[in-house]
Amino acid sequence: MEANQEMLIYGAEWMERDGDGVRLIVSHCDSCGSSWFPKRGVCPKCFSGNLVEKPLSEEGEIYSFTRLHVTSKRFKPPLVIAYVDFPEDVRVCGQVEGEPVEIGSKVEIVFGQIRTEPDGRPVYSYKFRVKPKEAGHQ
Amino acid sequence: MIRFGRHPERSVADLGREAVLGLIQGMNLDRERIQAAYGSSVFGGPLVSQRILKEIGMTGIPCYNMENACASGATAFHMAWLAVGMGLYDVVLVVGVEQLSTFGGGALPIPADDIEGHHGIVMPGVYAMRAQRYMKEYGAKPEDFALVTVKNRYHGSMNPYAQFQEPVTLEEVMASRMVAEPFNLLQCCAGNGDGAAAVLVCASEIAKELSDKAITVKASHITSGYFKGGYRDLTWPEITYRAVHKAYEMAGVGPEDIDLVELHDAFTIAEILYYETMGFCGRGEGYKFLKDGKSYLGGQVAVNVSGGLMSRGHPLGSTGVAQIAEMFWQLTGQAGKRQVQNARIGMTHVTGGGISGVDNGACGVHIFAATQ
Repeated sequence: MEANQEMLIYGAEWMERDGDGVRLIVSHCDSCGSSWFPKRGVCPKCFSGNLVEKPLSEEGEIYSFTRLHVTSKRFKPPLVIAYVDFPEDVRVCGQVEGEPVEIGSKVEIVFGQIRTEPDGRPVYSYKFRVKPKEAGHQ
Repeated sequence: MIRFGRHPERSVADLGREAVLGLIQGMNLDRERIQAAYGSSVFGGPLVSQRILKEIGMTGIPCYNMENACASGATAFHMAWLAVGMGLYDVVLVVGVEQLSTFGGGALPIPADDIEGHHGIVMPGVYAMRAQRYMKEYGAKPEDFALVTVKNRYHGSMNPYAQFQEPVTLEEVMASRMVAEPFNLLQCCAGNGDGAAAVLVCASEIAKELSDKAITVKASHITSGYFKGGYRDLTWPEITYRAVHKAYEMAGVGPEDIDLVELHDAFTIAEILYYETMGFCGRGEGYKFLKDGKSYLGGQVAVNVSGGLMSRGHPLGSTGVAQIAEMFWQLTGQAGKRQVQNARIGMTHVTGGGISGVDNGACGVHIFAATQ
């Protein structure tokens, strides 16, 4: 691998990386209070351009998930994918690492490989990791 | 329509032509009567209706080609209905065609710019997530969903146009390879076949000149899904609810009046959810409605007596038109072994595609009535 080879990142402009961790950037509409991921220039709800970039909460909850055994070409099955809901009423779709993956599982956002290009180069992006259940909870 | 199946050696235009010629010759129609053509295809390429019609000398007429993902066929029919209804034409052709056998298998491509597609989502995955949520909320099991395939393949065994004409057992469905948990392969409609179907739309005043068999369009509605960036209830297909209830309103009917429906059983959970959104049963009751036999031929409402997408496969652009062809045969008493007794009012329904943040991109619903 060449020393100056660029790392392929999908959605680099939508996240802030902090070590292994990731904060996703949302557009918060100061006119109606809604948040949108990925960030954008117009609020889909109220059509205002009064949007401010803010970091999304660090923890989300799995709304639903599946384990894909058949994937499209650049992905390697089995692949766990989920819809994750955040307190800002933002839903993000992404791959999930860790166990157990259940509806209601809490996840954190991490940085990792999501697929491979046909020429073999890995592509990285945000992913979710199941948080260990806290002591005292079931 | 043609026998749906795999015909990779033929061209898209040739498949479409077979359906169009079957229609014209079957009706003994003078091809000069057709004043416009509405084509439906998702991956069939540009000018699909012109390519179908040119080799049979039907050229120089207005041609309109529609794409609304899986709802393309209903969209083309809707546009034809609008044009005839406003008096622009008296007789128009609607033809839907799709050839997926040349795609090479695997899941169909999601639009290249879709953020969820970039993370690995495929359509079976989207519906699998609906099923997971439904199981959690209502206590259904994967076997409950699999009964959709068992029913529809049983119906399809009576349909000479279906790609798959052998019934399957629950055990066979559950033993097929896993695609997206909880869906085995046979809980998903086949996405590798080809199909073509054609129907004629004409002004009611002149229908009798063309044929002694016709059905009436009582409702035709196309809509698109709402975009939401946050929470969406995946067990309530809002686009279908809106489209179907608008169609009921247009036709002046309710779910209790529907004798049969051809709906979009792309995945087993879809049919279960549609029983609920269409008002045939309450929320969370769909899987019991099926288990009690109420959606079988002879049941409370005959759902997918053609065998649905499970038996025809889902050559995208042809599906909506194939449903309407089936409705025509059913409401004119020509459906043979799968005939719904006393079929007076029927509904067709397709929902198109997956784009992130939206229930489905498009939905097309039609309600038809027997004219005799």
